[in-house]
Amino acid sequence: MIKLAFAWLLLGLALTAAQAAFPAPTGWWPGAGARIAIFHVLTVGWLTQLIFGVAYWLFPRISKANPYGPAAAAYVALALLNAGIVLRMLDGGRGWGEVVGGVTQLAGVVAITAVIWPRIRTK
Amino acid sequence: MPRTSVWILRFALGCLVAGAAVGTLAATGLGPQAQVVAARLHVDLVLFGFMLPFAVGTAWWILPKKGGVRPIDIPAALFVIGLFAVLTATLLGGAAGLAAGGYVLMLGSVGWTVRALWPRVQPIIAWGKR
Repeated sequence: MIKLAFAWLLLGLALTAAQAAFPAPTGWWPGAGARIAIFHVLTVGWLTQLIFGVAYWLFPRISKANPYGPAAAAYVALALLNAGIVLRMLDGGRGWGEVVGGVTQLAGVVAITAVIWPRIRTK
Repeated sequence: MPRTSVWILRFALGCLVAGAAVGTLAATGLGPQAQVVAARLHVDLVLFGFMLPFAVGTAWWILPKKGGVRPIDIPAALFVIGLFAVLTATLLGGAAGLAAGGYVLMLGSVGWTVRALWPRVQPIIAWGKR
């Protein structure tokens, strides 16, 4: 999750630079709403994933036998979060990707919250 | 993990889920005015409701305690009240005084929290001199 976060950071900064160099919508990408898609690359792809990547490692362990909780759920959350960003990127912020990507990211957020929630505890 | 951190972190996760849901709603073709309201709610919930409290809640738990632990329950509560004031102002549309008051409350609570955390942020070498 942390490695993916850094990858999204590099891509987000590269796209920000590209958009600064070519601000007018040209061709299939970037679309008029690409700025929102790039913004989500940085906020969801980088910041949120970095936060959850660190929290997944750092927060109190559940037990010795099952320290991090269900690994499958964590991988599902990882896949959904990143698929949501990719869908927004492919669409270029035009319309359908905003909705499908948004729903996918929402599902990813719910999944990662479900994974982290039991580890937020006093003992 | 201290109880204060537990509540701050749970609040942050709740705001993240709510913010993501509102953000998705904003993308589904609401009317222009509703879309602006939803977008502002989305940004406030995710930025001030999730990212800031999540960082503070984790810092409160993980930072060294050698500098002295000062409680942050009151500023945390004030921050929540400030955020709800901002969100309510956005929902009401144009309650600028309420929004400004909310942001001022959040600013004050962040200042209070920074003051409480400040002594706990120090180089490890300083520990031996205390």
